[in-house]
Amino acid sequence: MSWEQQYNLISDDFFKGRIYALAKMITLVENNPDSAWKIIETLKKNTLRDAPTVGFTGSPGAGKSTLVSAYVSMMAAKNQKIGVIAVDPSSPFTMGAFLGDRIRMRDISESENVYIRSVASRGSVGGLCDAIYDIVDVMKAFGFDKIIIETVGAGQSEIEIVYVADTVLLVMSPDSGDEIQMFKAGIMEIADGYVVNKIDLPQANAFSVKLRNTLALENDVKSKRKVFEVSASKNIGVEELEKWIDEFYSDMSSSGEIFKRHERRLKRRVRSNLMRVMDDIISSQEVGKNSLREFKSLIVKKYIQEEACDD
Amino acid sequence: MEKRIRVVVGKPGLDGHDRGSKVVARALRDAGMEVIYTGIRQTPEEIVNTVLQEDADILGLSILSGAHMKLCQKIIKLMKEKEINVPIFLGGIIPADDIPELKKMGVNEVFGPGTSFEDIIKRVKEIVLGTAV
Amino acid sequence: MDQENKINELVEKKALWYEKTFKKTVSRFPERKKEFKTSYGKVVDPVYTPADVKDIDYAKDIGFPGEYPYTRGVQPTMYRGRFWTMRQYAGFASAEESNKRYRYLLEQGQTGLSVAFDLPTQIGYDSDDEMSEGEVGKVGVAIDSLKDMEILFDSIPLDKVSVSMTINSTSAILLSMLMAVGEKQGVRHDQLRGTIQNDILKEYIARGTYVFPPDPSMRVIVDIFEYGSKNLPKFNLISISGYHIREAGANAVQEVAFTIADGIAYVEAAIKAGLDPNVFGTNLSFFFNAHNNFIEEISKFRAARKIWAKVMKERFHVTNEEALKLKFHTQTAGSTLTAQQPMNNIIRVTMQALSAVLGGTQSLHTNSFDEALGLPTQESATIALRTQQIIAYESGVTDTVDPFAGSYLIEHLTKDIEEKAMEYIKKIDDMGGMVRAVETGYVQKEILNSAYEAQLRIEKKEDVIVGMNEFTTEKGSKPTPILKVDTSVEEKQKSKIKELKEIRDNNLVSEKLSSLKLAAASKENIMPFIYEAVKAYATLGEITNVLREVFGEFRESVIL
Repeated sequence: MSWEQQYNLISDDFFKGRIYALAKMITLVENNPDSAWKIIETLKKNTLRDAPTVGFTGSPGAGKSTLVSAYVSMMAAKNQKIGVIAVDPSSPFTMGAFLGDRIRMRDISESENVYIRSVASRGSVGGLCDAIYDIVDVMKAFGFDKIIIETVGAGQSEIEIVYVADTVLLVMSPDSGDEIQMFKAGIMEIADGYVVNKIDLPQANAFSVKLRNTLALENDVKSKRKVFEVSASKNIGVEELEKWIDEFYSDMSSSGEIFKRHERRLKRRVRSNLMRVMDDIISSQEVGKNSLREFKSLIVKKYIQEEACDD
Repeated sequence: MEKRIRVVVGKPGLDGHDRGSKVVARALRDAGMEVIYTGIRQTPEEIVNTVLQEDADILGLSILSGAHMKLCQKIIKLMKEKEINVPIFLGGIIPADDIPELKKMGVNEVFGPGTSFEDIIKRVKEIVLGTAV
Repeated sequence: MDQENKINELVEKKALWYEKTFKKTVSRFPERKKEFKTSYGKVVDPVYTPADVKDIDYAKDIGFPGEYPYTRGVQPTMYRGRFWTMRQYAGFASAEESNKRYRYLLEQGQTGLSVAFDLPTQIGYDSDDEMSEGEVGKVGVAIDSLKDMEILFDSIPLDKVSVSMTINSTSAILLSMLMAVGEKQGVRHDQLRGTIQNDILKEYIARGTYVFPPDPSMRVIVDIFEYGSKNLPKFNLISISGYHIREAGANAVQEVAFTIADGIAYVEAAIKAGLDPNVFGTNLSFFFNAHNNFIEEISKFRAARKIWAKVMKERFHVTNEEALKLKFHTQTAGSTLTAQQPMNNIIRVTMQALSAVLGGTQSLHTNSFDEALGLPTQESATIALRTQQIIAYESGVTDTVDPFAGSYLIEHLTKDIEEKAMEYIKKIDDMGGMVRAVETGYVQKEILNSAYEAQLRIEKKEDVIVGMNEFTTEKGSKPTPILKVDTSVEEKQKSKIKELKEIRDNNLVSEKLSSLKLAAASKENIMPFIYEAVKAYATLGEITNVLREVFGEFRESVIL
């Protein structure tokens, strides 16, 4: 069945707000990367919804899922509709994956206000999956008030989330050996909020102090970035975090920062898309006796041809 | 892109013996599937909701406590109510006498103790690709 | 020096034998496998000699039965004195039906009872709870209140029959019920003999009947230790269980290591609460699995005994000899039973049981051959018991203590298992102890890896399971009759609860439950309060719910 046929089967129910249709729409964009943008355009013709997107990143064992669960349950209790995307890694050898974040979100998984979708990275290396932009758009079109993304959590290379989400939180745990790794990594600079989770652990305070010293956020009066001490499992400090996320977003809206971020996102998305298509073309072309320059022109020509048929 | 089979592996009821379900989950993953594992002590409602939200292609259940008749009945009833048409396979300690009734109820396949990974993977693929939309 | 020369000479001779005799044969008749391995991956040599045990000091490492380090057994006479307790785990449906089965088993010569409870009882739900639906009376007997317990032990004298109860999260409640039934029979608490499993850590690791988070669970266990070591001197207040860890897929070394590490965690918690390991140490018992690899299993039991004695003496500075002895129950490995050609299981069980006896077990459960198909029938349960009796009375292995000691291989493996297990224990210590290691999922992951590898070996036929991946019969053998639990049990239990709630003193019940709640929220020992609530006929679910409110509930984070 073509994607159009599949789309037509479910689109009515999608706009009626039926969960099964949402679930199938996500599968559709995930499995049809070449036509996903057309699906998104069609969806956007029918609805003009937008929603803040919040990303949670951080190493495995930091407690991202538990924190997402605590944060989302707070919003769900206020009757906000929340869509959660939890990304787990695919095996590079078999492409199989365990999608296990949902189990750590049992407090919200039964809420009528929450939809959780587990997604496999399917070979993407940035901590998310190639279809992430499309999935977020599908969720926005469905009408969620907020979209939450949890990254794979493999660490330093996970910068893709900065482009996908409006606000990015880096979750750390004092006991997971994050310290050395994280303080060095580039990921420290990209976050908007820093969450020290498991604050009830004995070594948590020392960790927090060190983090605050390293970031020295206080020195930059203009910065709205902040460090939070929470215990997701004991629900300590999550309320403050929730409040700040909303404030940070409205600050970005009034300062115009959000538009900068939207633009950055669009550029990245186009870039990712082009790179994927280019990649396919390059790997399917024989170099033969072409010079470097000839080969390059050949690729560009091929690309233009393909783009033309696609339109 | 090649279609990835999405499987939900669930343990309904109070039974905590999860060796079988975990090992099978791993085998399915190593066969290239995307496996959503629910953990133990899930209610039928939770399992059905997971199948729905995750757009699973197939649902695998593992029950060793002898409560399989009641639990399968409940899960299938809920799926019907929510108009979810997803095939089901069942593993665990399932007396042979119960299998015909389980199949009548809507369970597609029952894997007893000692079934090989190979057989399970093969059947799962057959069932999913045979009923794929 | 003379000894050392002899060993060196032997090593040379063995090398020569290997080059000349062994290789010559192998070149013409290759061995069946490239490598022969134990469950934990140790490559086993074709032959063992005194050179393989040269580092073992007989007096220090092996010793004599009934003496430190107890490698050869905890009693000096072992089975020359009296046989192990033949204790078949049983229980199903209602208290009435289980009572009948117990009385039958006692008449057949069984010497102790082992009670299996259904899952709702184990997880603290009454039979009328929504969560219990479909599970009532399925894997054991349903106990909702003291009323059921009175029926369960009707006409069974609790001062004569020792009772083992497989109960963990709700052990304090069931223990209180047993004490109350004893009291009604005129049996003093200090006369009660038996065991409660009460081992919560392995529930998080392998068995899954947890209710509360680890910290309050550990506190309840310590409360039971404190209360029990004063009031129930003849009772084993915990059965630290490797059985389920092995069933979940662990290998022999992991079984020993994780069980001992659990034991260490309990002892540490109790010491922290001010208890003396010289005293409560005598109320600890263990529970192991008897698996397929005969020689490895015998070695495993011996190694476990030695490790525990050393841990108690060297780590906890215990001086009371009774508290150094690892006393254990064994069950043959349920996961090795096949649904195909089920009669073969009788032979498997026999060999597994024999390894437990040769390993010096204090009590034994032999599985029924039909357990991969469903609950055992009376006939299959009888054969299982007879298996033990034949080993005890006919085989002759019981006439000498630890008859396999001195086998080069057995002694070598005993030492190897000890060393490998100690490596794990060290690693767990470095992680901050077993509670932490379980919380992070380290232990579960190690076990799952072993389980997966074991399954792959079976798939590839590297491990042959007779009747399952080899020597299969085209058509399944003739259908085996299995026990069907009457589905009306659930309804009957429900109406019993309804009736109970009408006739008991409900004011008294709520009063006792409120006191329990206060005690749970404070640091007081909750045992006396649970005992009072039980005697007022508060139900198991009511009591557990009070504790749920105070302690919260545990949710696993799945490790795959």
